[in-house]
Amino acid sequence: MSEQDVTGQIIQRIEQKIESSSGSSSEDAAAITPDTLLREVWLRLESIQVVEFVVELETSYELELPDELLGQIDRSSLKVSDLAAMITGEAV
Amino acid sequence: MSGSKILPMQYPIITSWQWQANAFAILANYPQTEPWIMNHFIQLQLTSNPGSSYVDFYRTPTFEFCPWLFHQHLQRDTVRYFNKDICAFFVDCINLNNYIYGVFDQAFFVPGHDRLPHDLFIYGYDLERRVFHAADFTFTGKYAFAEVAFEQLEKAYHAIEGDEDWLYSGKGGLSLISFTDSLGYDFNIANVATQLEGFLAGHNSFEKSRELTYRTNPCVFGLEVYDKLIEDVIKIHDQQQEADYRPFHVLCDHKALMLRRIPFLEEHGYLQPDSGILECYRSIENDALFCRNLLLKYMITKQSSIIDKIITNIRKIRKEEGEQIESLLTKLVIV
Repeated sequence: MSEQDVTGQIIQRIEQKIESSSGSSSEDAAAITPDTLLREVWLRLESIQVVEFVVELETSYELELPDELLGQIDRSSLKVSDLAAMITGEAV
Repeated sequence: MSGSKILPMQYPIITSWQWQANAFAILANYPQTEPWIMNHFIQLQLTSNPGSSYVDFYRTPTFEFCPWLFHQHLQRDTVRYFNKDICAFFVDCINLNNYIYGVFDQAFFVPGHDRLPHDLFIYGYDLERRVFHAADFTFTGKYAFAEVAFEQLEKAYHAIEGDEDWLYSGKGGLSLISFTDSLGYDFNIANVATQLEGFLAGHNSFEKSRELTYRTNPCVFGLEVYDKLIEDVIKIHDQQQEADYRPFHVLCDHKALMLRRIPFLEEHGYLQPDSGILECYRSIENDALFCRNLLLKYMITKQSSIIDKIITNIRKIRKEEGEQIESLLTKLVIV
């Protein structure tokens, strides 16, 4: 599966999470792109949703993602596309 | 009389327990309360209750000892005797600038429950739409503001009887809270140092003050909280105890306030700038958040390896926080 395909799937999952989050609109979810910073995504989700999202990705793609995703990422420059690269094994 | 009124509320910096979140939601509107906040919420207390541990700041609840909050406490019987219409009473209280805090059966307005006795914080009303403005965790799963219809709130209030009114460790009743600046507060750096020393030693520096609070189960303080949390995590793994992420949420709140306290100390000349402590505390805050999220992950996946990571991180927090507080104590300027 290409990194582009995985990026699309990740964006879809994020949009679903944001839409199910209390107080969020479909407009909030529509703004997610490959260049969206993960810290911005995390801010739009409940804490439990962030953890669920990471677990869902690990389960779907049968891998273990870096622990840093479950810590404080408010100064991280990781983007949605970087997450896709981690999954496809193309991360630097 | 105006048809609506909303008392000042801001989303609070700490949200682990509703009694703390509610107090901070009021205090956040008044910058003059900052020295008092920075002088408190330093010591942590873990109480070993049957089947779970309760972690909170020492001392709690804030409403009862904060000099900036005027606290009036009424028995339910007293409220009932004088007020046949509870909604009208609440509106009058808000018009007199009182926030209202009490236990309500929130099943009347939170979907999916048959019974849900929980403490609610009311801070406004709208007579035209017949709704109160209220705050609690029950609306969305995290601390949030919402509207509750008069009719639902009235039923929810009257549905609480006897032991269900567990406010203030079972005392029960209804609290009216208003902001007051009549007392004021002077920051006390020596008192901060005493609390930090107590945190390091695992000792409650204000043992005498415990006589002012309630009977408790056995408890530990400061760094010893981390040792007890490791025991709890092992019990969770061995299925001797239910997993509970809330103690770790309190750790995150504790670190958030330490991160606010260090610049405060620097700005007011109690600590030389660029001590490096702030940066180290950012790392400790990250580890606390990491522990909480790892426990959430364990609750979903039940992977044993996660427990080892949590224990490793708690040990890391204990070691690094001990070092940073020791460093802070040597650098404090106590005049």
